[in-house]
Amino acid sequence: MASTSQSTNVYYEDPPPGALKEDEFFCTERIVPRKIKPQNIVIRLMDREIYGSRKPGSHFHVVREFYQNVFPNLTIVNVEKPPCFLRKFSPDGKHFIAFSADQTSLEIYEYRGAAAAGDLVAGYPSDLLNADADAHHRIRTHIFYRFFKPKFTVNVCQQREVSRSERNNAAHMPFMDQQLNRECSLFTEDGRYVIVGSAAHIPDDLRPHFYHIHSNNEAVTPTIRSALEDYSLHLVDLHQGKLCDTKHFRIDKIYLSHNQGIYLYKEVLAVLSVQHQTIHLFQIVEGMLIEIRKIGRFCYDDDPFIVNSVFVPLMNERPFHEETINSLKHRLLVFLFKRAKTISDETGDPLELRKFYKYFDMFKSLRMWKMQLLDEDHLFIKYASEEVVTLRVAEPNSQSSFFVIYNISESKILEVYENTSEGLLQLFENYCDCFRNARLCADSQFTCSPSNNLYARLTQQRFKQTIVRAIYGGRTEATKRILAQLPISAQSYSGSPYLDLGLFSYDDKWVSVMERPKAYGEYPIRFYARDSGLLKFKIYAGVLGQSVPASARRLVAFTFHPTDPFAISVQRTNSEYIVNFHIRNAVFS
Amino acid sequence: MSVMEFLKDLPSYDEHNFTLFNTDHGIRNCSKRPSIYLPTKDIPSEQIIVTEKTNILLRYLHQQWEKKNKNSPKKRDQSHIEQNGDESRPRKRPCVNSPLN
Repeated sequence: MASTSQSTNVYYEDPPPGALKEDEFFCTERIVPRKIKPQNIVIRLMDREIYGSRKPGSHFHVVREFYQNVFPNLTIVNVEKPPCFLRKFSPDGKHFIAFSADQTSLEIYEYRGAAAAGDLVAGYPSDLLNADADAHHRIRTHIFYRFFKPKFTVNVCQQREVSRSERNNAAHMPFMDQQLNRECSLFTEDGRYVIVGSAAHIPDDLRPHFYHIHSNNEAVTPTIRSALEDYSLHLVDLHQGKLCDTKHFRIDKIYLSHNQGIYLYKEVLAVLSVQHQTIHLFQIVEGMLIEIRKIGRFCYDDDPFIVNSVFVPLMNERPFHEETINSLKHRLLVFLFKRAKTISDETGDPLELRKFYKYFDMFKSLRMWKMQLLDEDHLFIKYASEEVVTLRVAEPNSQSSFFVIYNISESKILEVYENTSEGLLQLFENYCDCFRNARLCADSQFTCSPSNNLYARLTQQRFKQTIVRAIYGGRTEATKRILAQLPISAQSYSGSPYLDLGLFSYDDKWVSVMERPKAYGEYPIRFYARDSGLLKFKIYAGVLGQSVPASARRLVAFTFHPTDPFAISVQRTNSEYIVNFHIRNAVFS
Repeated sequence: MSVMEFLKDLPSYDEHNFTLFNTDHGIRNCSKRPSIYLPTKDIPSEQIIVTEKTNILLRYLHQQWEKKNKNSPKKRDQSHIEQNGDESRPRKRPCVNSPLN
């Protein structure tokens, strides 16, 4: 039935045929499938030859797009390797280092290129070569030496016993039974040298002297969880296979794992002694580690001379008993005081200054926990309470901490941020590459980050929103969680193009640009091309076809070559290690 | 005028149409030399493009620091010696009643 009012027809049921002009009401356009870019490598090469990089400055990205055509499409499970701990490729990708089974020597291998095992796996039709197949035994046993040619074995830790009398009298004695830290290595930019760290536990019967532990009034009290050790940093020449220099740190606490306590920026090496609250700065000059400065008790080289000219030192007077505040801590307190005073003067309200006095003792008790170099002349230092620094607290990242940006040459503090600072969070999000020291000129150091990659930024924003909306979450909690990543350990990000979120889409729960062990699932990690959405390749992590007990902590560590379609994954299930190679196999069908 | 009419006599074989064209056995020489501008005054360019040594983050932090500390003197400033001309007096004097002495 229809009712009419002037010129408008209102229908209460289906209108009669022809009553409506369908073109006016219905969209006649069809859904057009998204046109994907040509995936053929020949077309892409021609396109590059004709047009080059269409947008100025995009040459780097145009070149990297070719990685969507050449990728590691074959996983070889349970590769037989020599008895060693595989570590990392050099930044130029020409060398690979590993630690010997007894962790006293550094093994240097020459990488032979992505096609080194081409004839060995030629024509293999599948993307997985499983360990269970007997026919593949030859491939698994030979493939390691196809890719890696043993070049040098450098004995780094000279073993010898040291008596108690020797230890307390001699200042420069070699240390006992030191072992290399498997998670510590720093390469120089040119790929010539590598710095590795070793440590030795101090036995109870050789308990150090009190003033060797408490060398100054900022020194922390050691605990069982952060026991004191003897440390050494070794500079090894990869090209000549020789130990060039060693620096010893006696009765100390330096966090070597994941390069947390040491940082290399170009030729400058910074070492944070947590025990003695001192930052040692070295310069690599022609294969030597030359100490250029110590920052902590003093900030300038001539500070001890000035202090001694003012205070006449008493006999047997130890720095531990000094009532003065050490130089670096003094800079920090002065900065905080000046800031509070400026705010109080500007607002005419003494609240900020009162807050400074209220928390003065807390500021004074802060200790250096982590640090990094922002460039050759700037340190980024994280301060926390002594309980956090000596690992007495269960959840250290939930505690209050402070970030200090310190100019070395001018001995001044540029800025201090708390770990709830929105300002620092903004800086970190926008200038993430400055904290990672990523540079376009060095391929191996250019990693995708929230400040240079839309997809990485999106992932971080999602992570932030998840925490904001969670129970017991919120903006402050999200800020704390993100800033807990700072300072960023040196060389802890992979520059592999296969982990570039601009080129490939993958689940970063299983693999990411940060080189840290991850949990692994039962299914392969799928890599999709970002421009087309097509599945390009799969990486099989974990031991397939084997039942793993539910209680076992299953972890996998990925090591990607900086430029080639080659990756190594090491699975650890409790104490068992299994190595998989992920290689390029040209399949001709 | 149509295109066909415009092109009807082409190609042209009339040599009078080419009286101004001088081949000289393929050697092109022009009697009139172009005038050359010779600058007599060295004017420095307005913009000099250089690469900043410090990264953008540190540049920002230094700018913020300078804003806050416009009037504060530099550390280890020797200006008071230059002004007074008295180098015999040390910058710091021993503190007699210090707890460290």
